[in-house]
Amino acid sequence: MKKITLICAAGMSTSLMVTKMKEAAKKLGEEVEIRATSESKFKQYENDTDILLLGPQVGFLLNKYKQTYESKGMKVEVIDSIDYGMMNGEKVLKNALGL
Amino acid sequence: MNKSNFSEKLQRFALLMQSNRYLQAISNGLMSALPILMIGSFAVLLAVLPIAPWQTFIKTTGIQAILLIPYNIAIGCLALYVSFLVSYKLVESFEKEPVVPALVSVFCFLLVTPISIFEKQSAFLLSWFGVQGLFTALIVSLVAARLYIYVLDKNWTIKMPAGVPPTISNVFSGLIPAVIVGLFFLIIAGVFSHTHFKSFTQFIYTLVQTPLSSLGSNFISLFVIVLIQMILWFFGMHGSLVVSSIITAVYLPMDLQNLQAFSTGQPLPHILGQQFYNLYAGIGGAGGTLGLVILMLFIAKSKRLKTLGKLAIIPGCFTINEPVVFGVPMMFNPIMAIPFISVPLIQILVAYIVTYIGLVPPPAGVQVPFGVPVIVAGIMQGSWRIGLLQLVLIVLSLVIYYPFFKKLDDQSLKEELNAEKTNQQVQA
Repeated sequence: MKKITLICAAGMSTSLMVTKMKEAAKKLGEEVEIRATSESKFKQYENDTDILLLGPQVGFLLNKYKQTYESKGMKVEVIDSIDYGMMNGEKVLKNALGL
Repeated sequence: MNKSNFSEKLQRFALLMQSNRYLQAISNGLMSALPILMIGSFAVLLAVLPIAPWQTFIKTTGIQAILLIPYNIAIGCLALYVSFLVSYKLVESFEKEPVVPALVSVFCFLLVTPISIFEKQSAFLLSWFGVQGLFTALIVSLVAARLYIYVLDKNWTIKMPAGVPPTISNVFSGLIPAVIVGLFFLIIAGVFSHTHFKSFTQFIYTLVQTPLSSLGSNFISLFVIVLIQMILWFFGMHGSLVVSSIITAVYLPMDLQNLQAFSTGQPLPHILGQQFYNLYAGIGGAGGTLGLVILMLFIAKSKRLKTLGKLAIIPGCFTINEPVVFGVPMMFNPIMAIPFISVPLIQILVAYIVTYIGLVPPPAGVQVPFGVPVIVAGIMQGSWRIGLLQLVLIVLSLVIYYPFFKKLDDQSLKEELNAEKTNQQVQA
């Protein structure tokens, strides 16, 4: 089962996104575990994440996370800002699984 | 300078601010104290709630005095907690075992705090553990933690033979760093006791905290901070996150001074503060977009904007507006740039003026967590008039956003109609 973690500043708006993605996962019949957390708490989940998605508002942290985690086999990407704004859970989920 | 170049520079600035471990340690350390700050705040709020029968009741039963105890222990001793938490967070960022150095930092904070003597009894004045000692606590905890790490990295430690349980060897490995850090602050305490400041804490209070809070109480400072924040947001970066550590370090002490005055019924010393920023600088999220969301929800002709309005209204009431920033989108949007950046600036300006002339009281500095809905958050700052001011500012933002919203709506509607037309042509 793929484990996806979303991060933003406080984990607030990403938690909205997570709800939408979970709905999409159910509809598509995908077995995934999705969670949202704040940037400062991500360390807790570093060993429990296959795909790391950054909210576009913390996209400036992409290189920092890529450097730390890509070598460990984690996929790191920034969520497309329009998909994020429209809370398009299905598209974000599909893109994430396609990484 | 071209646009992408500027954007890159901003990105680097944001990353620099956000990845600065010292600023982060201060910010995360203070945030960890929030549960305790909240207990203290709510106790005060109950103790001074301006309802006559309640006041008579708590005064006659002696409950009021009891309610002020958690305030004194929670907010009145914040510096003491902070001296632990900030150094804990800093050591953690170096991926070292944080408990011992955090404790050493508390020890050092107490070392530099003056002991008063009353009729042969020696005592710490509670005031040094509160706002007056806060900056000392921040400085001591950062320096103590950093020095501890430095000594640890130099490997000047007592090595335990293999086979000793890690818990025990951890304690011993902390021994030499602890002694060195302790000695360092003992020397500082000794030196400053011979100056006319009498103590390091008094020195910091006079030399750093007082000028810093006068800088903080200057409206221009807040204006510039919010302007930087909004420019970052316009480029799609979380501006609020980037400036949060500065906001906390400068404005939280001012909140606490207000709360102290509030608990004793004195006039509140500061108009600005962290709660002022939370209440007025961006109602409904960065850019004060709640007014815009209301427009989208009720009068948008474009389907896309209407859907977004439905999606964004509830999070907006809780000051979350990423759907608006990225969905409208506000970022890189030349039509929306003017209101997006200017609305929060106008909102804080109006709030400042209205508070300055005394129509609305300053926020009492009650520490509430992020996510208390708009207007309720205002009322919790000690007066219904603050909630009303928030409401007025929402209406004001609605008016400012209106012409820009109209343009945006027309544009989106045209795009939608065009898309439909091409669809029909394809089908035909």
